[in-house]
Amino acid sequence: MMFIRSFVFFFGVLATLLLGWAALVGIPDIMISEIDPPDELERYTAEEAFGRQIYIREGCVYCHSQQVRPEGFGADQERLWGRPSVPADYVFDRPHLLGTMRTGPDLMNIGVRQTSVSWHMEHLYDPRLVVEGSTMPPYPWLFEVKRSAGPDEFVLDLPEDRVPEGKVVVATREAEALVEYLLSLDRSYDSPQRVVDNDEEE
Amino acid sequence: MTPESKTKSNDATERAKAFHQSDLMDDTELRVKIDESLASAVALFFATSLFWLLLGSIFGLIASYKMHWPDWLGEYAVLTFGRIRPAHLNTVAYGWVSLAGAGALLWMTSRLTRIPIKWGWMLFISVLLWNIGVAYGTGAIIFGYSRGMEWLEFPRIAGFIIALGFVFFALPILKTFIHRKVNHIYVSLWYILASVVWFPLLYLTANFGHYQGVVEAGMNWWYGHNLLTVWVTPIGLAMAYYFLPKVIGRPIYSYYLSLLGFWSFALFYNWNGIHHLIGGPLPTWLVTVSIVASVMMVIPVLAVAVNHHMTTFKHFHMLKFSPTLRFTVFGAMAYTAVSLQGSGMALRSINEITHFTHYTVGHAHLGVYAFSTMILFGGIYYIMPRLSKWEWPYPSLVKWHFWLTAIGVIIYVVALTIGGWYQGLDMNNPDKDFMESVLNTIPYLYLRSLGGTMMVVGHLIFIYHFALMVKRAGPRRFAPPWFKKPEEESAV
Amino acid sequence: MNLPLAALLVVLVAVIAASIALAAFYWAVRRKQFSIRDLNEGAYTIFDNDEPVGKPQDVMFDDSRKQNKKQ
Repeated sequence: MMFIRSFVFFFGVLATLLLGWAALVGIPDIMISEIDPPDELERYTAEEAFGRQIYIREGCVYCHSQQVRPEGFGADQERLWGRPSVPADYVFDRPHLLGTMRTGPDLMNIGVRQTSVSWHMEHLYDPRLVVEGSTMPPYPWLFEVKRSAGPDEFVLDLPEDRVPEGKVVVATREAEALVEYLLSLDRSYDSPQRVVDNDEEE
Repeated sequence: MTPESKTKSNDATERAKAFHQSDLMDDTELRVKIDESLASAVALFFATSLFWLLLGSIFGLIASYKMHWPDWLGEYAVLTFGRIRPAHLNTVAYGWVSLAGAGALLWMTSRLTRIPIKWGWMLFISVLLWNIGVAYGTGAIIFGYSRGMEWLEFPRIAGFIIALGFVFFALPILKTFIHRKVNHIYVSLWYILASVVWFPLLYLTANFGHYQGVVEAGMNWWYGHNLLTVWVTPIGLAMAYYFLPKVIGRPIYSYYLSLLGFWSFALFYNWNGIHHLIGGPLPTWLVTVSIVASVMMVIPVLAVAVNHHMTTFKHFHMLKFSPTLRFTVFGAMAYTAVSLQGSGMALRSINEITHFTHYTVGHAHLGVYAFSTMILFGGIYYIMPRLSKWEWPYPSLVKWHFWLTAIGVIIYVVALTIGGWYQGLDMNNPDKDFMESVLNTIPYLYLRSLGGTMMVVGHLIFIYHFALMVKRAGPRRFAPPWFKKPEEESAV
Repeated sequence: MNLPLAALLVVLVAVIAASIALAAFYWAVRRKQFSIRDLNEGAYTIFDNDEPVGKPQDVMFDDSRKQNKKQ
């Protein structure tokens, strides 16, 4: 009797968890993991992928989401952060970086909103140089203070009192990759999902 | 001291005695045997968990200060907000709550099965592996090797080591359960056994599954919320179901309700996770399923709430005497509050405002701190003297610990709840610049840092007190009726 | 795999699981595995002769008690 009761108990708790997994992970996996990427969405280049690694390493996701909410749900549309996100936008994203916090603005389409390389560089070096009152941390270790810049290096255009006498601040390879990644964030193409929906209606 | 009428309590004792199958050993003797079988292992679990509590809460405090002083320590890569924040979450979740919870579950398992722990040697392997896993994972985050998913930042190797540590923790519990000397499985033991089955499954599917794009996001939050479902909440509830009636000396208010509470909890809670992605790119039906399940959570929560609060009701005067009861009742109240708040936050209309804001951070701390951590503190206050056979030396330190952490967490939660709500309103108002939602939040973030500082000071006091006790320093106390010799009984 | 089919599957699995659980419960009740008395007694498992019902544990801040003990 005790054995049967224990068996029912263990079977029961096992079943509840597996049922939840099947519904929330298993079935979505079958349903949407096979979707094709939109034609306009390109695979990350090696440089962009490296920049994405820096984005993960420095934990940008803890303050910046990468998902745009639809009309009538928040003010994402009014703020012109882009059209509502769909699963196909994330086909190449691994790990996903949807985020759950917006201490700072959404970055799903930052590559469209802010195209200036020098703005991004200064912003990463010291956010308060370009955004007054920003609470974003500075990332000085992504930059190097040097006597003179090399031929291909990006030199930051900083106020005089921020640069030591006779030196220049240049971006490291990591900063360049990170900016490259940020500029690649562009999901402004037509929603592939919407096209499918229209087809079904016709 | 005994408000109940004598005949009544004698009758109940008789019934309880008749119910136990084996009273072969004298009760006190058995209790001492059980405690001795566990003493060093559980004390190790507690001691190492306190190390992670201190480290984790200091990480949290640094992150909190950095939210309003972004340039403070800004030149150190290893201390940047984006690394210290996940380090905080992972050390307190997998270090503090998990290790302290594991210690408490082991002790309760042995008490509730009424036999000394079986395969006790495995516990030393478990505590060692677990600590190595957490240390390795935390180091990986700090030095830039995070996996990048919330709650799953530890590299797979660290996850594997922790899972292995969990196996060496689960086997003694199951072995002890098989050899149990009781007819009835007490409600705390249901939660313990369920989490022993659930946690490894959940942890392995999350750490070693392969998913793509948004499915990975769904898995991420199915896991993230389920860590609370299968591990953090069962620990807290098992302890509350044991310590509330035990300390008060009255059985649980309604045993039926606890049964209903357990099964509805098992059924609904692990469907909740996707409510973290409301408004996101996942299929709507998936999100809706999670919202429905989140609202259904009201049933188990009310069952638990009625049970806990009706058991405590009429015995509030005892809060003056018992440190364990004080912490546990605070935690039980927080559980009711945080669960009802959580069900509300899953509704689309409320989530629209609270999503992406500090409101959620406040909610998380109401759950993992005000509920889970406070109950763990209470449990350690009860268990440790029985293991070390030495009473806590300074009751005043216990009072300081309680008031600092209790007031600290209340300031913390209230500040972020109000601040986060306004942050959400500002964010959703297209007429306001986004920067306004940042700037308007800053005063509340200062308040949060104040609350956080109080909590850390409370932890320091607690750890100092713990160290004194382990060293058997301070005055010897006989006050609580623990391990009393028979001749002292007359003095009660 | 399209949405209606998937939803149907979930519902089907849920209904089957629920009916198994209900059947097991009904069976258990009929075989007298559960009884009202049994359940209420369960709440008393945490008490014993040495720590009986009606006797509070973990009483630390009570000064009168402390003095008694110190003798």
